[in-house]
Amino acid sequence: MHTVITLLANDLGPSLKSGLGSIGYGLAAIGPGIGIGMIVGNSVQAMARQPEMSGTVRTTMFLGIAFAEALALIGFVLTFI
Amino acid sequence: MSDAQEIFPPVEDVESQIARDLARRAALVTPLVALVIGLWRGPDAALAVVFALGLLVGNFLLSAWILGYVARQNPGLLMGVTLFSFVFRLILITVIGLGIKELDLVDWPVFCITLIIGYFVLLVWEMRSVSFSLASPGLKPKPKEIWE
Repeated sequence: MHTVITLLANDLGPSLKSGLGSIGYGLAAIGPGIGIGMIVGNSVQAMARQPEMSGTVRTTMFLGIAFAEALALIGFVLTFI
Repeated sequence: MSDAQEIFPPVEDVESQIARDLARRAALVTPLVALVIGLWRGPDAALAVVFALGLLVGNFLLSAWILGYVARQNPGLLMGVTLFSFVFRLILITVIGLGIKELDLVDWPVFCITLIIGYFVLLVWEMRSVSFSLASPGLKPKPKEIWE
């Protein structure tokens, strides 16, 4: 049994690691996707309610999107480091 | 004139302003960080810092250009374009990152760590600046008011 596990680990090790990394990266991109959707959705609503404030809303929205994207970037880095 | 343009008044290109400001800060910081890291870990690490900060600035500028263009042209498309831009830029960053890794040009761990730390440092620095001046110019304390 131990030999079989060792053989599987040696044969599948790199590809398994790569596959799990890709799945992890995909999972890490879900959170920012939801976050960006919420940020932009609420920003569009705010701009529709108060069009005169759209400059301020877009500024805050852009920074919010950038912060949400940082999570995806962390996922990328952790996958390949 | 479309309905969207009637509802939303013309506004300045705030996204590009933020991205340009961020790029300016990155340009100030990059040589110093590259020098320090280069002295510590060698020229590969210095190159990694330059590549990572360049990738970050490129990502910000591209994001700002896409969002600013859509917000000015047709705000109704903002939602969809933002999400597709996120996916597109994520793919672009992955391809460029993997290309850099495959070419073995730079110190990979330094590249990854600079990517994360640089992103947060530049963003927090910019957010601090925006909260003081760009978004709310009236809130920025003037020296005259402080001493009065």
